[in-house]
Amino acid sequence: MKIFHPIFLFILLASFATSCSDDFIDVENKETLTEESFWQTEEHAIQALTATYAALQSASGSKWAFFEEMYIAMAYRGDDIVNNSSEIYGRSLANFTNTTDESAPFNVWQASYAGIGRANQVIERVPGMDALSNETRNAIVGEAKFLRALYYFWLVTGFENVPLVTKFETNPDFLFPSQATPAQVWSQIETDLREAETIMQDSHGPSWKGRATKWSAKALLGKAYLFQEKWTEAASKFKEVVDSGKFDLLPNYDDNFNGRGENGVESIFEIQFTGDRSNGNDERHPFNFEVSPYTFGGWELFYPSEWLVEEMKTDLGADGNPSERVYQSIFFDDPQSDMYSLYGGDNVPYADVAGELNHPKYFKKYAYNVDENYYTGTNIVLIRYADVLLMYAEALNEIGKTTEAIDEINKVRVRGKAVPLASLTKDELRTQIRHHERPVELAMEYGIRWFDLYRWSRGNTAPESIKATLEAHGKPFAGNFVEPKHQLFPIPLQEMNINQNLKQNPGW
Amino acid sequence: MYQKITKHLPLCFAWMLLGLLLSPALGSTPDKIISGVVSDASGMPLIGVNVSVENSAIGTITEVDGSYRLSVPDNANVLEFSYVGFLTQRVEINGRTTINVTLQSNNLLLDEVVVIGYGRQKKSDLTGAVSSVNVGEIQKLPTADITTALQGQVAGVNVTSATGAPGRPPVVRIRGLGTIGSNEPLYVIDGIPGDIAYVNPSDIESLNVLRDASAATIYGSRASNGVVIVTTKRGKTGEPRVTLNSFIGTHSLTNNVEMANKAQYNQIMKEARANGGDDPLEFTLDDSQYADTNWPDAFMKDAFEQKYDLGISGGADAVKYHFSGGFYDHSGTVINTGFQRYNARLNLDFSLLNNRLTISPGIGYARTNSKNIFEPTGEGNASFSPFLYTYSALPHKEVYDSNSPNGFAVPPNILGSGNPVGERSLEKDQNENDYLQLGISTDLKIYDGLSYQFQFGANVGNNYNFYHLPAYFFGPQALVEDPFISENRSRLNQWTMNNLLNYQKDFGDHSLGLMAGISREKSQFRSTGGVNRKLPSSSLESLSSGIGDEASFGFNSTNTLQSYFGRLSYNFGNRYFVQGSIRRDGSSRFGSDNRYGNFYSVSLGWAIHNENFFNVDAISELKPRFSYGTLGNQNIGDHLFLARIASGGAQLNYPFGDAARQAIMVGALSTTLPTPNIKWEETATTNIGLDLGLWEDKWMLTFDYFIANTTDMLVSVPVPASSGITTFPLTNGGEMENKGWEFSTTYRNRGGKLDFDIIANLSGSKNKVTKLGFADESFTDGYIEFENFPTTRTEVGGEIGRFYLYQTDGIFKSQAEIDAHGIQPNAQPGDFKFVDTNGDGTLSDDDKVFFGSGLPKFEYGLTLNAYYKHFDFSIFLQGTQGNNMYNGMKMWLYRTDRIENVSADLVNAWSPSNPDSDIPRNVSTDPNSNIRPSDYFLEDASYLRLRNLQIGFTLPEATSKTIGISSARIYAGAYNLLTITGYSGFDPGIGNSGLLSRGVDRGFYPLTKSFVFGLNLGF
Repeated sequence: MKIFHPIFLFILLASFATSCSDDFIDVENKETLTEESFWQTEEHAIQALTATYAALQSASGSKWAFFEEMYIAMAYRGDDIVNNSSEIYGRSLANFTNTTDESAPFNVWQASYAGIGRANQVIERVPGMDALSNETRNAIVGEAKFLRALYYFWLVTGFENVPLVTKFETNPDFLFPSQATPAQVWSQIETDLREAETIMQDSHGPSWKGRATKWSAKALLGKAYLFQEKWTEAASKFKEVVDSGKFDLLPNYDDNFNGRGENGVESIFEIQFTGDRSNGNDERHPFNFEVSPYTFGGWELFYPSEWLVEEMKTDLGADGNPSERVYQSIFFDDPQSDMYSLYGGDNVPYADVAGELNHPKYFKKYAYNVDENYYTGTNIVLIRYADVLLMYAEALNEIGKTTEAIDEINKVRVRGKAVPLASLTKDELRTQIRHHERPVELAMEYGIRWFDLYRWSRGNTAPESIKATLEAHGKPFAGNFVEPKHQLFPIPLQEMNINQNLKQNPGW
Repeated sequence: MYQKITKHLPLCFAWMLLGLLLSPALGSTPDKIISGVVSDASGMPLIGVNVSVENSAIGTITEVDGSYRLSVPDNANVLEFSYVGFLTQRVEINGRTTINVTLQSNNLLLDEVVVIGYGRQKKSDLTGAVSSVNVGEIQKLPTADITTALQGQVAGVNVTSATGAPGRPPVVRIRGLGTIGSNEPLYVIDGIPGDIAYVNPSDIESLNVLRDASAATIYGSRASNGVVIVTTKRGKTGEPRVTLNSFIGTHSLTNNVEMANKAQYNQIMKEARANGGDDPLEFTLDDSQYADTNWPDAFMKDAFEQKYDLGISGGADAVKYHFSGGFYDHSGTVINTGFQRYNARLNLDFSLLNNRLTISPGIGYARTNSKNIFEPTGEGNASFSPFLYTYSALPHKEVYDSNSPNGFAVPPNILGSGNPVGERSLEKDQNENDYLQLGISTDLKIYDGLSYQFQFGANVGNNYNFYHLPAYFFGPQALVEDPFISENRSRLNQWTMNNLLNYQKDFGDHSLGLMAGISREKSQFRSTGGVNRKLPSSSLESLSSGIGDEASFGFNSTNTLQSYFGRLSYNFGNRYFVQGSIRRDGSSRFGSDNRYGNFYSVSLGWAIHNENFFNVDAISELKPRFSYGTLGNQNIGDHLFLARIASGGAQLNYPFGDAARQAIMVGALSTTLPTPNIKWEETATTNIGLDLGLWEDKWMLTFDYFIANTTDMLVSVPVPASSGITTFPLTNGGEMENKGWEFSTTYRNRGGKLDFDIIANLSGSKNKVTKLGFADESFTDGYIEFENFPTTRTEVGGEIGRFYLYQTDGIFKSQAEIDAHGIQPNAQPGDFKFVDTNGDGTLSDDDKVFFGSGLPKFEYGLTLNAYYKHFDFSIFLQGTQGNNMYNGMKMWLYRTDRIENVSADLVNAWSPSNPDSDIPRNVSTDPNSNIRPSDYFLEDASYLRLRNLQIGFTLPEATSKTIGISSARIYAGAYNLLTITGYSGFDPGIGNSGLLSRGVDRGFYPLTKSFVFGLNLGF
C-alpha cells in the first residue's frame, strides 16, 4: 500500500496544526478598557469625573435605588413627611422599627463610598496626566474634592462614625478600615472644600452645566460650618456666595421643581437627570410617580405631614390666603389648590378630584412630566440659593445679627409671595427658622429636613430633642423613637458582616 | 527553564506521533474469516450479539439465526462476544475459523465497557468512582432533556429543577457543593465538551458520570465538579433497522396554594386595616361589587406534550450508519409559554485499511424554539416572580374586556394597576436557537496494542432572542407607552482537537495500558443586539421600523485551553489494579505567571474475589478501591487578571448641559479591584469505595466515601463598600471541605416467570467553608424582596447558604405576655413572639440563628422493574431528606400591608375570638414586623415523589410480524403523579438555581403532573 495514503496525509496535517506554542493561550483582550489603556487623554479624565458625579444617583445608578433607598433614607424620618403606610418602602425606617440590615441607609453608605472611591481615583491619577492643561487638571481635581466632601458630608451626618478613606486602595490588607472620629471626617471635609474652592472653575460652559463650581464648594463649606456651629465662618462663606452676585431667586418658586429653572440662577448644586434615552441610557427618576395621587396616575408613596400642612397654612400672602410657595408645594383642600395630573398633563383643581383622592394632601414638587418621557428627567436640587439665604440668616442670627438675618429671610419670603417678617428676637427668629421658614420653603427637598433636626439636636446651641419635636409635630410612631439610637443610621449590617473592624452605633 | 521546555513540548510530541504513525503503516497483515453461531444456555440462537476482535473496532452482530461472519486480521488473538443481559465472553481464536459460543445469562454487567475520559475501560478494571447510567432505564422517562431524567438515578448526582418552566435546564450538582464559585459539571459529548441540553435523550448510547479525582483528573481543568461523559448511538453491521418511538402527554399544574376570594379578601383586609388603624379600603366595603376572578386559573393552562423519534441504523463492514431525527413539543402550562426542539443526528463509521483505521464522523443539529417567561432564579437581589404577581392580583379585577382594544380589562383606578394575564399575553419573548455539533474521530491501530486517535469537534451555537411589547395600558404602574422591540443574536464557536496515543498490552499476568495526549480548545462568543424604544405601530416587529431612541450592544470574548495529559493503568492477574493520571492545563483566563495548572491522581483497587484464597461462594465480587487526586476549576470570565476599567451604563453615566434634556456623558473608571494574581481553583479528593457482588452478581452493591478539599476557591469576594468598589472582585478567596457518601445497589432476578430488578441509590454530602474572602467576611443572600429580607448567610465554619433567621416562639395571646417578654414594644396580642437568642434584652439582627440549608442531608432513588410475559411494569420513586425551604411565596401572601391579594389561610388568622391560631393577626401596618424572615416561613422540604409509573405491553413477535413490524411496545404512564411532603408551597423539588440562595422559594414555575401514552416500534 501507499505510504502517503490521503488519510494519513490528513492526520499528518491535523497533528501539525496542534504543534504550536503558548501563543495559543495568549488571548487578546478586545472587550474592556484597562488601567493601562485608560488615564491617557483629557476625555478619560472627564469620564472618570463623570463617574464620580454618577454616584450622586446611587451606587448602581438605578432610579429605584435613588428614590426607594437613598431619598427614603434621607427624608422619611423627618416631621415634614408621612409615608403611605400601605407601601413597604422605608416603612420600618419611618416607624423607627428598622433593624441594622435596612437597605435604605446601606444605599446611602454604598453610594457615598462609591463616590469617594471614584473621587480618590481622580485625585490620585489626574494630577499625573500630562495630556491635560494645568487649568483642566485643577478643575477636575477640584470637583473631585468637592464631591468627596459632599459624600463625606452625607456619611458623617447620617452615620457619624465612619471610616475615613482618602486613597483608592487595591491591597486587600488595607480594605478593612476602622472608623474615624466625626471630628476627623469634618476636618477632611473642610480641607477638601477649602482646596476645591480655590482651584475650581467659576462657572461652566453650556454643555457642562451641572458640574460643581467654586460657588458650590463655598456653599457646601458654609453648610459644613453650620453643622459644626461655626457660625462666624459659616456666615462669611455664605456671604461670599451672596455677594458674588452670581445667584438669585427664581421669580417663580415652582420653577425649581418643574424643570424650567434647571441649573439656573437659583441653582448652587443639583443632581442631574435627563429624559434622554439615546444609546440605551436611562438617567431618569420616578419622583413624578412617587408624589402624585393614584387618581393622577401616581403611586403616592409619601405625603406632607399634618403638621407641615397646618404650618404652611400660616404662611400667608398679602391677600390673607396661603402664600404662593405653599400652593406650589402642596395639593390640599383649598379652593385655590390644584395639581399637575400625569394623565392629562394639566393642572386639576382640588375640588374636582376631592372625592377620588386616597389621602387628603400631597406634595407637588417634581410631579411634572417635563421630558414627556414617563419617568422624569428633572434635576433634583441639593443646594439652592434660597437654602443658602436661609442658612446665612441662621448663622447671622446666631452671631447676634438678627436684623440682617430677617432681611435675608424676607428675600426668600417675598419671592414666595409671603408677607415679610416683622422684627423678632433672636430666640423667636431661631424658632421661626427652624420650624417655619426652613420646613415651609424646603419641604421634602433632598437631604434637608431630617438633617436639620439632627444638627439642632446634636449641637450646643439651643438643642432640641428630635423625639420631642417629632412628638410635638405628630409624627406617627414617634413613640418608638429612642435617643440617641435613632439620631443616627445604624452602621449597615451588610457592611458589618464584611468588615469586622467596625463598631455599631450606640443603641443599635 | 521549565517554561522553555514546556513551550517546545507540543511540537516534539506531534512529531513523535507522526513517526509512530508512519512506521507501522508500512506493513499490514492479511485477514481471515471466522464464523459461528451464538446461542444462550438453552440453545436458543441469540440475535444481535456483538462479536468483535478484542481491543479493536472490528466487529459485527449476529443474525436472526444467531450466526455471524467476521473478517479478522491474522494477528488477532481474541474475540469478544457481548450481549445485553449476558456475560461478555472472551474466546481465544487459536487459529480456528469456526467458533460457536454459548453465552451465560447474567444480570451483572461486570464486563461492561465503560467510557471514561479519552478512552474506555472494562467496568471490572475501574478503580475510581464512575457511575454508569442505565440509559435504557432513563429513556423510559418522558422528559425532553437527559439531565432532568438523571434525577434520582445516580448516587451522588443531585438534579434539581431551578423552575418547572418547559425547556429550562435543571441544576446538576455532582457530589454536593465543592465551591462557592461555579459548581457546573463538565459535559463531554462524543469526546468533545459541549452543551448537553441540545442532545436528544433518545440519541444517547451511554452516559457515565466521573465523580472522583482518579476518574476525572484526565479532564483536569474543568473536572472538579464532576464530568458527565455521553456517547451517542452509532450504527452496527446489518440490515437497516428502523425504530420509531413516540409519546404524547398532558400536563397540568398542581395548584395547591389557595388564594382568598373576593369576600375573603374583603373580610381579611377590613380586619387588617382596622387593626392597623387605617381606614378600610373603599373597594372592600361591598362584597357585591366588582368581579371575583381566580387569577391563577386564568394564568395557567393544561399543556400538551409530544415527542417523536425516528432512528435508522445499520451498515456493512466498511461503513456503518446511524441516523436519527426527533421532534419534541411542550405547549407550556402558563399562557404564552412553550418549548419545541428539533433534532437530527448522523453518525458514520468507516473501516479502512483492513479495519486498522476507523474514521467516525458525526453531525448533530438541534433547533429549539421557546416562548420564555422570566423568573427570578439565582443569587443576589430578588426581583419579581410572575407567579407571585399573578397570585397576588386582586380578585376584584376583571381579566377580559371585550371592549378594550387588546381584549384585556383595564382595572379601575381604585383597584390599582396591572392585569397579569394581559401583560403576559401581550409580551413576546422568544428564542430560536440553533446548535450544531460536528465531530470526527479517527482511530489507527499502529502496532501490537499501540493505537493513535485524533479527534476534532466543533460546536456552533447561534442564539436569537426576539422581544416585543405592544403599547398597552393597565394603569400607571403597568403601561407601555410606546411599542418596544429588542433583538439579540449571539454566536458561540467552540472547537476541540485531541491527539491521543494508546497502548494496551497483556504480558502474562501483567496488563498494561498507557495513554498520552495533547488537546487544544478554543471558545469564542460574539453577540449583537439592538433595541428601539418606539415603533410607530404595535403591529410592526422590525428594528428598522423604529422611530424612537435606539441602542445597540454586543460582546466579544474568547478563551483557550491547551493541555497535555497521560494515564497509566496496570493490573496484575486481574487482582491488583493501579492507575495514575496527570494533566497539565494552560488557560487563557489566567495571567502569564499562573497560566498553567498541574493535576494528578493515583488510584488502587484490589479484586479480592479473584484471589485464590478467597472462596466464599455467596460473594462473587469484593473489590475495595482507593483514589486520591487533584482537580481544577477555571469556570470564570475572561481577562480577570487585567486591571479593568468599567465604562458606561446607568451606574457610571451622568448627564450635563443646559438643556432640559441634557446630553448623557459616558463615565468610566475602576469599579472593582484588580486581581492580577488570579489562578486555578484546586480540589483534592480522596475516595474510598467498595464494590460487592452477591450470588453470582445477582445482587450488586457499591459504596463510596469521599472527602474533597477545595483551595483558592474562585468566588466574588465581598469587600467593604468603604473601599469604593461596587463590584466584588472575582478571585481566589476561600477554602472549603466537602464530605459525602454514596451507596447504590441493584438486584436482578431473571429466568423465572416474573423477572424483576430493584435498583436503589442513596447519597449525601455535607460541606463546610473553612476560609472565606480576604478576612473571613460572610456572604449574605437569599433576598425575598428587592434589597431586603435576606434569608441566608454563608460564613466560615458552616455550610454554604445556611438559612439565617429570627426564631419565633408562637404568638402573643395577651398584653401581659408581651410585657413579660419585654423586648417587643410594638407588639400586640396576635403578633409573633421572637426569641432573644443572645439574651441581651433587645431584639436585633444578632438574634438571628442558623437553620440548616436547602441542601438535603441525603437523597435517594428507587426503581422497580418487573417483566411478566408480554407485560412490563416500572415504578420510580425519588426523594430528598433534610433539606429546608424558605417559603418566600407564603411570606408574600401572608402580608396584609399592601393592596394585593393574600392567602386564603388568613381567614383563620389570630384574633381575640380565634386565639389558638398559629397565623399572626391581620394588621396592615405590621408594627411588629411579623413578616421579617423567621423560622415561621421555613419549612422542611423533604419529599418522596412517585416520579414515574409505567405499564408496557410488547406485542408477541408472531403478531407484530404479521403487520410487518419486528417489535412493538405500547405503554402508558404517569409522571410526577404523587408527592408526599410537608412543604406547603408549590413544589419542594424546585430549588432555585442560586448557590447561596438554594432553597429560597420566590414563587417559581411549579412542576407539573403528566399522563403519557407512548409507542416503541421497530421495523
